[in-house]
Amino acid sequence: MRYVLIGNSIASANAVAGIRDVDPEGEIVIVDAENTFCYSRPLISYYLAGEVPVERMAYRPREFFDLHRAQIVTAKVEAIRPDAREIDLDSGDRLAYDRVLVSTGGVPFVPPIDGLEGGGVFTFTTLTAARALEAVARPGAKAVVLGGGLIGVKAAHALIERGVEVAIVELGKSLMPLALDEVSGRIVSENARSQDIELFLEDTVSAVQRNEAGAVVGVELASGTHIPCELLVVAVGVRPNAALVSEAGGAVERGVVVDRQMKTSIENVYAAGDVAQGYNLLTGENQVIAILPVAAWQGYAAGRAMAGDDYQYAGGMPMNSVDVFGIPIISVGLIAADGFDVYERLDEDAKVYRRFLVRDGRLYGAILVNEIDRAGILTGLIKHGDDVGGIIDKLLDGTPSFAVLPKGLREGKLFKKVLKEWAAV
Amino acid sequence: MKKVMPREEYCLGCQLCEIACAVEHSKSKDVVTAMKYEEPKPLARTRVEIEGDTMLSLSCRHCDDAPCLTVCMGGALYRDADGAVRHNPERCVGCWMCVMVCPYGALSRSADVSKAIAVKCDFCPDRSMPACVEACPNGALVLVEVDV
Repeated sequence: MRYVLIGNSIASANAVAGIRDVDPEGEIVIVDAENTFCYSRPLISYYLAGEVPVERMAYRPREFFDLHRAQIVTAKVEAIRPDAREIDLDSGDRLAYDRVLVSTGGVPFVPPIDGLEGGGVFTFTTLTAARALEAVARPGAKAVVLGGGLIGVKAAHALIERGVEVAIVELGKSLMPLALDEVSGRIVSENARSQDIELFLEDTVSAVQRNEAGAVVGVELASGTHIPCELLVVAVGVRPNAALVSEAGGAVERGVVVDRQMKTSIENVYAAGDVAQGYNLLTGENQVIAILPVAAWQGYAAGRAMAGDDYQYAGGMPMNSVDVFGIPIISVGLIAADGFDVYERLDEDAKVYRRFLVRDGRLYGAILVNEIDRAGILTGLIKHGDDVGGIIDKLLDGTPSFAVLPKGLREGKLFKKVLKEWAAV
Repeated sequence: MKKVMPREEYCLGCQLCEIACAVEHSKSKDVVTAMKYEEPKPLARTRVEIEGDTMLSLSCRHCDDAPCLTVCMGGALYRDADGAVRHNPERCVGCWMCVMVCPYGALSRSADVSKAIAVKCDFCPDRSMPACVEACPNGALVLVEVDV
């Protein structure tokens, strides 16, 4: 059995672990166009900020791949040919597979904007992109970051750490509009402004202005505002890099269509990570959730399934932990209030805020601002659909704890697999 | 592997487990020096929760399918040879992904403002009996072979 994993990614690393939990023997080949190591994409902002060197960006060390006997080949995959069960490489070689995993991630979406073509315009999703920015992000430079979501906020943070002056342009009403509600969005946006970060909300870049030499000298916003700058970072979103699957005849909607075993519509072809449209356990629908934890869990499930196990992906949900210019926030689950009861606590002076979405005694979403300790207890309650109808106020009032859970729920979580052993103590 | 399990029906909420844990992870390993004079103050990795009559001491379960380990972007959390989930502070970037996913709330943030990192139970690698278990006068923490 030969497993070919396309992309040396978080999903692939976990697929290796999943395969080896089932099949200690099969051959594993990881094919990646540029990376010789499996690094954590979210670390690129730490790299650009000078906080983490390249040597410390590995998600799993080289020894992990050696231990699991996963061979890494540097090549670009041109096509998957399901009939022949082969992939075509840019070298002209072909590589036969029994099972193939597509974990090609996402590519930054760059909207059509006048003057965008040329130097001085960057994206921010890969180490290569971070290095390109590093080369030009000198102290005193002026940058505009288009997009105030997770990637934009992290790019802006890193640029500021390098002494660059940053303005953020965001189409939504606040920073992080997809992960935050109005109140938390307002708190982090006001906080960013208090630190002299220029924010242009409900606005977008309509044109990039260049001088005769072609260098970026500024951007013009839809509102008519002009911002002088030398750099533009486009961080408005990421699109699944699904061409390999669609060109092979596989079903692709927003991302690659997969079942609960991460199998695509093509026999022996699986997909996981930012490229895949996996199961969302809160909505019951399939959706691209382009975050590291989901890529990891999908990759592991795919690995087991590829090796013939009946393991199913439990499903994922949106979750983000990010420091927004000094304010730690954690946002887990659903955000939009429609159809849910909203519970909130706000301490305006301390900028502490908690917000829960609840329906039928079940937690569907939690946003924590500034006080994020033990957030995972809430994540667990959301994930497992536990009945917390009687304790919502206690969960809201302070740091979440096990002691406030109903006894049966608490014991179930602590001892669910150990009751037998427990009786013997 | 053997794990530390709380028995809430025996717990009085005395927090001696927290003190024993903090001392074990201090520089001096002396209770008075560690708790009163050390800077930074050593942190306990187990936490006594009290809600009315309910009391229990909770720390890392060293889960077989540990979500913290999967989501750790810095590669700081790892499975050690003895099965324990341990944390390498050198690689921690303080992203709090582990805080977000641990269903037991077992990872804390260190108080160091210059470089806050995650702090968790290391299952006392230098001891045959974890400090918290040894310190509990009531048998409210026990070391048992379980499959959590």
